[in-house]
Amino acid sequence: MRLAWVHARIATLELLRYRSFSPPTLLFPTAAYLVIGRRIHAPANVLMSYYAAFAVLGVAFYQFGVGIAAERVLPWTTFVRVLPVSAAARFGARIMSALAFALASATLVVVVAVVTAPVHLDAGDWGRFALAVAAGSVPFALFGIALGYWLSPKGALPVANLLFIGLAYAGGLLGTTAGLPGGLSEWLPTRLWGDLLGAAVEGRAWRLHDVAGLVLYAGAFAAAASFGYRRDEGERFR
Amino acid sequence: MSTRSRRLWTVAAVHALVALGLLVFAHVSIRPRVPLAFGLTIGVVASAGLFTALARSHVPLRNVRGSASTVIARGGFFAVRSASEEVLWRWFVLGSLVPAVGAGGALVVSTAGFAAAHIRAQGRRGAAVHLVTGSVFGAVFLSTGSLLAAISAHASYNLLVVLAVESGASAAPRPALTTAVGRDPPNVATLRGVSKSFGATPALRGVDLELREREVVALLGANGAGKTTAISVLIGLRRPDSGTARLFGRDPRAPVSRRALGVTPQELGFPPTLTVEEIVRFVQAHYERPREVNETLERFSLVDVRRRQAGGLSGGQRRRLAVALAFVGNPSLAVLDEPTTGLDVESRRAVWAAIAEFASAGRRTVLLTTHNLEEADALARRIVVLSEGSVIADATSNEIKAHVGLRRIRLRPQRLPTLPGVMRASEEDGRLVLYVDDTGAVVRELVRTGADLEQLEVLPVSLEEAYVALTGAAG
Repeated sequence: MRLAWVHARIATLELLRYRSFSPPTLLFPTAAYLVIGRRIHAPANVLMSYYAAFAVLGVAFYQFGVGIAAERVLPWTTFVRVLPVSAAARFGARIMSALAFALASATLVVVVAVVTAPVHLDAGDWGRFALAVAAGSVPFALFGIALGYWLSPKGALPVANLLFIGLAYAGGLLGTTAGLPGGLSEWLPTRLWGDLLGAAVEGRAWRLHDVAGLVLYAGAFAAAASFGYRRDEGERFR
Repeated sequence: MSTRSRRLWTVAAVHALVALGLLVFAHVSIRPRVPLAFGLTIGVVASAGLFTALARSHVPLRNVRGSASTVIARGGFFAVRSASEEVLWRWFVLGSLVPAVGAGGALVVSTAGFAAAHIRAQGRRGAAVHLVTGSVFGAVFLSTGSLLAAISAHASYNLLVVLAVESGASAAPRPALTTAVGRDPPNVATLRGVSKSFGATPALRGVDLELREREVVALLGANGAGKTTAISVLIGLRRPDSGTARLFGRDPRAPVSRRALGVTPQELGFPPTLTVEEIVRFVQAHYERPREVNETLERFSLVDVRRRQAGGLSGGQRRRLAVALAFVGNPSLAVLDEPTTGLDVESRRAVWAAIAEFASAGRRTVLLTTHNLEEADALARRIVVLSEGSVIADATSNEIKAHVGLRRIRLRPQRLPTLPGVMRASEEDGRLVLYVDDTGAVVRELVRTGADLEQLEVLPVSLEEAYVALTGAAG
């Protein structure tokens, strides 16, 4: 556990110092909220929850997807493998570091939303909202990990961009799906996540349909991530 | 997916089905009394308290080396299992008993059943632990009336235990050194019959190498001779196609075997935004009895650049940082890949002094690769020469030195008199080649006997060629 913490700290520090990483990852969702979200006619609570999820989605795709794809070919990563540390601790560290960035990015959206829009939630609903964001992010983190192990370092960034914006938009996380065929969105994991969030911030009960759908997606992405990890290990460290 | 992961998922699926069945068909009158978020928070806080209180009694069920998929499988398995156990013992048993025997009686009976159910798998000690955890989960359920709160307590407690076990916190260290044969110093690392190919290209062909305590061994060889591959196998980065690798008596691919191993990074790639001191502290944190960071920075003349980001270091500074990283953990075995390539004379001497100082104290072993024979001679008693994936020489540096003075004399093929100091003569590409240690004497003798000198050439011999010449090992 201690080593996982040490690894998480160093990874976060490293990323924070990249000028091309931190500001865009942290600020983009808030900027999108202000530029797009505030103009959409929808309840303030719902918009805030969607854009917070959008922020977390970005971290899942960039930090896991792009991060893993870029790092796994670096000589430094090879060196770290030789240190006396388990794969579990290294993996845990990546999750912790991603959590830190996701929390920062989503908190910024929430703070801006609370300040600029009529957001109203009681204590219990804030709890459900936080839980919905956290639990709903699991399948996307796994998706990101799968991308990181299946894509080449050069291909990861464009694919992650495309999936991030595409899935967020088509799933309605930006507050609108204008211009897309109606039936498409129903089956997307981002849509299920959005419904989970909407229920939380509007005080409705969670539907089994959304939870079960996200669990199924999580299972599929976990399998893809696991196979990708094995394939990569097999190639580079066989 | 491994058999182990698959089995865990199967058991989890059965648990989930049973729990769903109970949820659907049982009718229990307990209803949530607090908001869900509040209940979940109580559950997580209770689990953290339990984990802290029981930290010393966790029985690692099996000491599994945590590959990512095993950890995911174990995490998922325990999450599902805790949910199904809560449905059974709290919701179903405890919940149905409350109207009959009251809350206190129901808590006692259901907890006893919960604990008894774990005797077979985990013994009395495990059952005792479950008496404690069961009563806490039951109390969470009764006070909140929320099944999800009890599940969150149980699942997060299990997750904490899995993480603690997987990260090796409860794995007891074994003595590092195992075999001691006769009066030889103990074995530190071994390659036995190791072969390794990449595609159709063989990189190692049956390499045997044994490192013993207090040895400094230099691994010499041309580019592509297999030095890097041999080291990769020794430090657990690669698996041999055949043969075995052992590090302190264990498989080098297991993290525990590398607790007393220090390595220089290859290619000197450091995270460009981290400072020298941050990198050294990061690596130091992996070892139980490391060296002081300040002392290490001083020894490798890195004090002035300690706050500089690695991206801005010069070649020499990067090289010194790489060597510092191999030593900062105070390891028993340091593996140094070309520790002085690209250093100026002064820095090179400083690194040599640091290596010599390290090797002189305690039961330490050093394996270094180099192209530089002077370096090997300055540091190592024993020199191993690799050529085309095979060990072609394993000798003391004095023996090596005796052989590297060789020269090649090439002549038109002819019948020659017996010449002094010719170690070996052979015909290569239609020319006669003599491997000689005293060129002057041989040439004088050739002139005196009137040999055909028209195409005479005198050429240097590389270390590998010297060994090929002397041993006739490769053709």
